Amino acid sequence: MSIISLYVINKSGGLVYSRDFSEKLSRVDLNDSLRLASIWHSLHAIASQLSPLPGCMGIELLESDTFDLHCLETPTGTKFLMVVDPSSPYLPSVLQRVYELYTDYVLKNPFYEVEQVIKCELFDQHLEALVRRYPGMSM
Amino acid sequence: MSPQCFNFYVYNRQGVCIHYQEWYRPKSVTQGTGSQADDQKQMFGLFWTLNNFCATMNPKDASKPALGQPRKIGEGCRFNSFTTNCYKLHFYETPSGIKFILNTSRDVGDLRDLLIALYDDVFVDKVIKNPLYIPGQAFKIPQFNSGVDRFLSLRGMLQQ
Repeated sequence: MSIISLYVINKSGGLVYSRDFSEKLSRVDLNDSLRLASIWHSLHAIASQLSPLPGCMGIELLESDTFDLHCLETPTGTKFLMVVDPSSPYLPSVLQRVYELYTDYVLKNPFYEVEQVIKCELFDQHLEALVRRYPGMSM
Repeated sequence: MSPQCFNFYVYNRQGVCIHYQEWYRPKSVTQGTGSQADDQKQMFGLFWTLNNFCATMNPKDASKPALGQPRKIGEGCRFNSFTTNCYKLHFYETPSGIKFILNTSRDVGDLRDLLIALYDDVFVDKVIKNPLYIPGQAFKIPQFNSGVDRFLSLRGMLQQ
């Protein structure tokens, strides 16, 4: 499984972190990624409202022709989106691990203000190390 | 737990829901959006936005459209399904713009082939070939409803 990019959305739907892990693939423009994050937040809520069963918590996995998108929503409302290669096995542990890194290197950072844009070097470094553990892309 | 289908929507090119069928819906429409019409409009908004989202997010296309730009049918990456903790929604769009949405339980694999076969065998046969049917209009064809029921139970998707 190879990780293409990662996005972190705060509980109001604003994008606080975005990172691309592959140089060869086409990127999303920064303005578009801000809009996409807010759109995702609303879609998450609409999917719960349209659910035929009660107790729906929102979209966990989106499958399309060329990529898969995994989403982890924390109890506080923060969402972690991970764009991966299609038909990658679903490894909830990866997003869980990203959440752990977030709590360790972002939330415990005394200079970080909650719900603001993430600019923490240690978070970046450990995230890089985590992603490198998975096989790289081959186009 | 055997796979189970919950409900089924068919939309035309313009985004109007032309058919709705349900088998099992514990959370009624009134608890969700309030009315059947609102539910159908919201479903359209959901998959329309998801398709725009996927087209813009697509990592494998260098010439993808910017967010908000109109797309033609078949252009850009489209989503196939999404999974939530309660249900899985499957989407299929035909080249003529007819869209199928099927909500099932989570333990179902990829239903693209099933939806394509549903279109080919049941929809074309019972709806398109019906001489009184005007393409793109809402319809009430009992043979289509029973055809869908039969098709899905044959594949073990409906708990009787």
